[in-house]
Order: sequence, then structure tokens, then C-alpha cells
Amino acid sequence: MSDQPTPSFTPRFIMSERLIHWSVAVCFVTLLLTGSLLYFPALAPVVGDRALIVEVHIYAGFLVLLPLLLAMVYSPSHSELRLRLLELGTWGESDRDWLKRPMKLDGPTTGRFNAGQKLNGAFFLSSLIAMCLTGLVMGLYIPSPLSARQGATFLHDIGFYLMTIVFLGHVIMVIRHRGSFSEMAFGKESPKLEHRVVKRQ
Amino acid sequence: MGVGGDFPKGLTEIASQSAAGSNLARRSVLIGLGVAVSSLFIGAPVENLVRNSASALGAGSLTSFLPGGGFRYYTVTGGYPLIDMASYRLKVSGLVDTVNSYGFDELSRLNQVELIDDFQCVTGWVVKGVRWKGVALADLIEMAHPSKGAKAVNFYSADNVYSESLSLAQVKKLGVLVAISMDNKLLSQAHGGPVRLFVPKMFGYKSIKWLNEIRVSSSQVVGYWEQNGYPQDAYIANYQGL
Repeated sequence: MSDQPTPSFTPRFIMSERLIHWSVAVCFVTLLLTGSLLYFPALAPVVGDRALIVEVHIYAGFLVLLPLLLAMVYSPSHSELRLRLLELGTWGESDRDWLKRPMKLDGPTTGRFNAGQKLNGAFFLSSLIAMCLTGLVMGLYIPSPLSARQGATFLHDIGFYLMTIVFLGHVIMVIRHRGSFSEMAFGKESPKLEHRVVKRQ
Repeated sequence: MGVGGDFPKGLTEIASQSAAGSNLARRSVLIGLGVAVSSLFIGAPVENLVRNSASALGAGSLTSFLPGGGFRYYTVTGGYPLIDMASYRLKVSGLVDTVNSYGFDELSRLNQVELIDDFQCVTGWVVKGVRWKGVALADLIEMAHPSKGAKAVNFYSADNVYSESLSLAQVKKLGVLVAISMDNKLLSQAHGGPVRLFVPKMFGYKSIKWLNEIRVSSSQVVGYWEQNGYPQDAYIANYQGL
């Protein structure tokens, strides 16, 4: 063992990944809260300044995907961030196997993310894009035809419910896997070997 | 995406695996775009189908659990104006020979008109088949005897911010209602009670809530949302379809 080079580990999430994650998270929670205040009949009347809430909702909507999309498009193709995003955004043989027997196959082959975690990311990316576009149509009101506005509103509503459910699932998973919060919040190294990206000098 | 040369080995492996696997990220982006664009074309028919089949199956009450069911509440001020029923007066003034004002009881003793019509919001949501009851606006204006130059009717809300308007011709043509009841119940405060306007065939923003003054005029005021770019002639039919 002693003649083996000592592997050094980078944290599971590097600073740029964490910044992207938390910018999405802050905007998402803002959207969820302001959206609920505007949407639910029971909450809508108690809102103090509706116009302000609307404005916050719209700005958070513009910002929610911006850092992630910029990173996906503009990060240099060989940068560490790009490769790390690539890992999350790639579906392979081992992911198909994992789905057949969820949780059982966590290990060195799954890397930093198992198939469930990848699908969580994919779901949020898809639905945030759909929510931003339908939100845009809803915000434009008059230039867009009524049936388009109604359809966009319908999807925005469904998206709200689905995303709330998946978001709660995400939070529950974080609570069940304690270490994962400090990995994402403070860049702590993962105690799990398979979460580590191995750098061999 | 190219795979780099002198990179940490773990990451290089990831990159080569990525090249072999399918691109989940790109697929997610395309799915998001695709779902959003198709909602513009088929979202409305799908919603209508779901609602209609739910009520056809006798599960009408289920539709209230569907997303987007029912009224959504909009105010342009901090909340609802507090209106005391006992002292409430609806004033009919402006270019008229007789300025009138009605308490709530007086209004409800006038000839009541009932109509069933959809409430269509400009943002896209709709409540089908709402049963409105109240006094015909044309009757109220008639009773005030509009003078010669009268061409428009302006409406003011007790929230002191919102205003709306119609041409006198539209008032006569559309059967506009000064509503005091909705779906067989007195208008709640949330729905603009005690008295609101209901303008058939036009978007909901014309149907001003907490109505407390009707002013006959020579010209239409530019209403709250119209100052923000909405059309004054808010015929739903002009904005239908793709």
C-alpha cells in the first residue's frame, strides 16, 4: 500500500457548483413563497403589497436559471466545473441499472450522483424552464392569445404542485442524509468514497 | 464536448463516460421547452376536457381541487377596502339631471336582473357559468336622466385607486350589471362586495369591484389597468385563439 500514490480528494461540490445550487435554491424558494401568496385564495387577501410581491416573483423568475444556464453555455469546455456539470447531466448504463434496483447499487460505479439524484436535477431543469416560459406568457397578457394564456396558466399551476412535491422530497433526502447538507453548504468533503472525485497526481 | 488531456484522472474518466452516455441535461432543456410550448397550444383544451369530464362523471366538486379552479383574488391596493353596509351609498352622478344615491337595501329593492356568464380573466383563468344578479346599469343611468353630452360612464372603486369606464353604447348593448349577488349568495368582500360591476363579453378587469360611484361623462377615463397598457375595449372575443 505504501508505494501507492496517496490519492487526494476534491470536495464533492466545488465553490462554483455550490454558488449555482444556492442561487437556484434562493430564487426557487422565493418563487414558491411569493407564488403561494399570490395564488392561494386564502393567502391572497392577507398580502400587504401585492404589486411588490408580483415584482419579486417576476425578478426571481428571471434570475432562477441564469447562473446555471450561463455555466452550462459559457464554462470553458475543459474546466472542472464543466466536467462536473457533465457528470450530473449524463445518463449512462449504470443509471439504468440503478433504476432497476434503486438504492442498492450506490457505490463506486455511481460516482457523485446516483440515477435518482440525476433525475432530480433533470426534473428541476426541465420544469424551471417550463415555468419561466409559461410565466413569461402569463406576464405578457395582452400580446399573447387567450387560449395560450389559459394553457400557460394551467401548466404553471400543475408545475407548481409537482415542483413543491419534488422539492419536499429533496429536502427529506437531505435530512435523511445529514452529511450531504454540509457538503453543499460548506463544501465539506464527503465521508463516502464514491462521492469523491479522485485526483491522482 | 471534447475530453481534456492533462486533467485530474477522475474527472477525465467522467468526461469519457459522458461522451458514451446520453446527454440528460440537453434532454431536460428540450423537454422543458417542449412542454411549455405545447401547453400554449393544447393546455387550454386539455384543461377544459379534464374539467368537463370531471363534472360529467358527477365529480363536479373534484374540479375545485384541480389546479386553477375558481376565482383568483386580485386587489391593486394593500387589501380590501372596509365598507360599512349600513352607511354604504352608490352614487350616480356626472352629466345627469338627477344625481341619485342608493343604499344597499334600496338597490336590492330595484328590479333585479339575473344572468349566467363566464368570468374570464385577462391572465387566462376562467370561471364558467357564474350566476350574477343585480340591477341593470342601463336602468340606473336611465333613472338619473343623462344630459345631452353624455357619451361615457366612468366607475370608481371604494379602494380609491381603481377606476374603469365604458361607452354609453356599450352599457346598453352588453347588458352590464351592477351586481349584488353571485351564485345565489351576496357578494363577499373578496369578490368586490357589497356591490361590483359585471361586464359580459369583456375581460374581468372591466368588472370593477367595490363599486361606489358611477359618473356619467362626455369621455371615458383611462382605467387602472388601461394605464398599464390594457385595451379599453376589452372584448374577450378579440383576443381568442392562436
